[in-house]
Amino acid sequence: MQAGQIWVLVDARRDGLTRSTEKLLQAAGSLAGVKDMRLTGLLMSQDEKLIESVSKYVDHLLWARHPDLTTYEATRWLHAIKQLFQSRGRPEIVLSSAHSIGLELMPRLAAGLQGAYAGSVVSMGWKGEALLFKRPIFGGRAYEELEVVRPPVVLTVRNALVSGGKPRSAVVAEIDEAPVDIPDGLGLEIVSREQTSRGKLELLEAERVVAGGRGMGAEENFKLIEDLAACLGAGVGASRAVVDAGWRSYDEQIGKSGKTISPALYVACGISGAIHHVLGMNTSKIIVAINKDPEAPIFKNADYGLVGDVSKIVPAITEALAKCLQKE
Amino acid sequence: MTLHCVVCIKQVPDHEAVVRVESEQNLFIEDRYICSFYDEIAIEAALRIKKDHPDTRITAISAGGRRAVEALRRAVAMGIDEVFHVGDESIESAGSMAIARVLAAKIGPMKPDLVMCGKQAGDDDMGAVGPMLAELLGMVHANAVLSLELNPQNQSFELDRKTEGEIWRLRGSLPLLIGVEKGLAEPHVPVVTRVMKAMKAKIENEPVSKLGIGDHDIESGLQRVRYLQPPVRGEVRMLQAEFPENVEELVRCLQDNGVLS
Amino acid sequence: MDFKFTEEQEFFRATVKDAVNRLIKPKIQSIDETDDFPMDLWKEFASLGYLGLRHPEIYGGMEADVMTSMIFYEELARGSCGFAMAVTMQILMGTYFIGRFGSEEIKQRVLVPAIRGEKIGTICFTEDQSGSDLGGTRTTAVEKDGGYLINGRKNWITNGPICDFCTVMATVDPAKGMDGLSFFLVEKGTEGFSNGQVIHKLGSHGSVTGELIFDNVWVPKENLLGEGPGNGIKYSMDILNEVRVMTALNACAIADAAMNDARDYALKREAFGKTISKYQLIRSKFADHWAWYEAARLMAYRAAWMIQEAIACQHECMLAKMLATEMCQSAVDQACRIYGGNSFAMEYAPQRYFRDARFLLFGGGCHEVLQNTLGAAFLRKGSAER
Repeated sequence: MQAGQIWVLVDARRDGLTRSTEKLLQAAGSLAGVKDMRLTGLLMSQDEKLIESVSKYVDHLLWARHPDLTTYEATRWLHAIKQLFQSRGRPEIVLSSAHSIGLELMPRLAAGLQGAYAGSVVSMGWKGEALLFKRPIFGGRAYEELEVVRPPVVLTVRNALVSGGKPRSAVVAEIDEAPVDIPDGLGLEIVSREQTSRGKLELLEAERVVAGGRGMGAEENFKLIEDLAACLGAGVGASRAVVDAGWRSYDEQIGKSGKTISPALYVACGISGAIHHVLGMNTSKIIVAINKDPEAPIFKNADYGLVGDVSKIVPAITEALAKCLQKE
Repeated sequence: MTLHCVVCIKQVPDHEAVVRVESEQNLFIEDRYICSFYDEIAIEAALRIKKDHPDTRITAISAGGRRAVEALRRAVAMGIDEVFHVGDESIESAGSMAIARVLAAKIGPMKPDLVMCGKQAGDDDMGAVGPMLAELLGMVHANAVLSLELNPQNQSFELDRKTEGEIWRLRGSLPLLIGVEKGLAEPHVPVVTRVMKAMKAKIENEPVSKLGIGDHDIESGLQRVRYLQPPVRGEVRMLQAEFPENVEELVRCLQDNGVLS
Repeated sequence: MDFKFTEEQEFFRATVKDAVNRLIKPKIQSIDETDDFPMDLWKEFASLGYLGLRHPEIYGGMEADVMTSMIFYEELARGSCGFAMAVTMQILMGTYFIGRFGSEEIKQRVLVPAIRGEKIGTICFTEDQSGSDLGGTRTTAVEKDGGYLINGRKNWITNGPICDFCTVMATVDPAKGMDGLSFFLVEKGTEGFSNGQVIHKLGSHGSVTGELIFDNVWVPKENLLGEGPGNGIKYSMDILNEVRVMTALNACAIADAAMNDARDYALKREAFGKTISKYQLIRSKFADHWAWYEAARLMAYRAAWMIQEAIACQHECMLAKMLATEMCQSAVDQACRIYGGNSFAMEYAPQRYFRDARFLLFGGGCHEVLQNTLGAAFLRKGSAER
């Protein structure tokens, strides 16, 4: 008798799995473990090199086969997945990372399944027979916990945290090649794919910002900030002190009398953390502070702090990041 | 070829409005509402299309109670003359699928060429209605759209959509539904003549029953158990290791937090 | 008694607020620091149509009613006080008599471009020796050659240094005092009409204020605005009510902005181990302010309603202005005290609110003059419920 199924859409845009996919598969595994559900990894990429890395996390590797599936396109993938629901049974739970593919495809998939959908889930667990999960609302000003009262449910997951999970017993995954039909001309044509240019990012819109203050020492040292920002795809910010000193321009100023921003990552280099600056960035998701003074007030408003010389630390971060981002 | 473009909009709390978890069942939301950020971009984008193709018919639609009317007034102020208000307050808490069904019931018969939705709404941040609507209407769709070129003559389009670190250019045939991204258009400040017009606009309501939507259509498969406080920024974690280990540790922490991409 | 704004009014308010936040707020600091008239912002605002707020549609205006206009004046002042002064001068005082009394030719020549923002206007009451004391006006307008010859100097004229036209209050006969006053239109380029000194003001930066000199300025008969001569005071009363309520709402907006800014600060600033928002003496400042602010704002909107309903309300408008401007002085003072030493730094906002608020005590009638007038009125008739 087959217990319910959990399917995880495997992000297959690069060689090997992304860290977020690995974490999602592990989380799905521990969810499945509690209820003895079968964990299926849904692989849409046609690259067989991925089979090995996916199969160590799943009970069942469902490999959709068709040359037109290689590059993601919503209509074609959905068409294929619906065929797989028909032939392999409909899962109770479908999971995907909350990345651009998941956010575009998964709600539509849910509608097609006549199931429920929730996005940007940050943790999951079980409450009796019902799946329970948490997600941010109102831009993160509050969180809600929802339970699935009528499966199936489709979730895009931002943080793959599971509470009360049980590690699944390791089995040899069943490799299930499933050819699908894709009519010619279905969906959109992919004309081109371009890397986003690393031009000067508008501060108010940047997901990541690296900012420098007087602690950078001299105007020339802002090159280190710019290098780190380029590596991160981040905007460049400045404290009032360095703008007044003429090192940087006013449109980079962050603070009550400059711009108020709320990026996912804010790196404050050589910034003391005076209140007017803090008020301009303290709703950032993650704040990293680097300062040679361990008593600098900035550390009170940061998640991670490093005490030391910015001219040594900042380029080292850039180098370490470059290495790690290459791998992703 | 005249295009018909439908814009779906929603009124949501201002991003600076106070939202506070009072108890597990109660959320306090300050009464400061605006048309959702991405929805305004969609409105502006539609108006641009009309500028390029003056025959274009633009319609704005919002599902909900009096808040939906506020959003539609904003649409009028920005320049859209044809607006539809469907449903009532109860639809606001019925979930994305319910809203998508109601909108599909109204929009479907119009057979529009283009439907524009915001990428996600500033309240539930769910981002589901757009793709769901595309499925219900049987249209191709693309999310996070940064640019859109239409060719009404041969009913085709080309668009750019944003993914992690890349921009993809896609091509296809209308009809199309898109989820708009920051950058597709820059909402203009409404001119006072339109503001006055919006102030005086009589916006009629259509209940969902008239659209053939029954109670079972708007039942959600999800139920809220409770509200929770957002995590407070904890104590700073000073990375005390010697250089360069502290830097390596930092990079690992940032990866784990998912802020590097 | 319905104390609510209508849905339409709330919508209008939200729209103006949005325009102020997007267009004016980013420039507040630089306007204050450079003290230059922000011509680019002026043109942007004009292109949105707001300068025609009170005027008929046939001239490009909006025909907004009194309540709607008040909402506009309040929201505008939340942005830049100086810019608000320049705009309200244009919308209300500077073009009022032209709209009300000007000939069709004058309206086409002056009002229509003013509503488009192409011509800047102003009104001239104040002179070196007379502010609140309108009877002390010494600028004369003597009948001559089928028109009037105007002589005198006006001071403290908002938009004066950059105006394309002005409505001058002059007396046809100094001996008649208040009964000799009339309003005349004078346009730039008229011989004898020139700019005098510019006043460098403590606050309200961004608006330019200065002297206007009338040296044998001849204007044709149709430039006498209204029936007259001699009806100047009567007409002044008509406009002063609205000006005073507008000033009251400007004061409310500035007070509100200052104390909300102070609130942000109080929630973050720490002393002796906790945020200062936790201390009773700081809390009492917000409590007291809140009560007086609500009271002043209610009075202002009640007076606006009376104007709209054409109910005689000269005293109500004076009371509203008196209370609100005094409340504002207290609010900006307290906001500075909450900031402590930091309020003394130009880089923070409280010093700007503090400087801007000062003029509210004088515009639309000096505080002490109002107190004298109102005190006398109270002694004469007592309160309504007596």
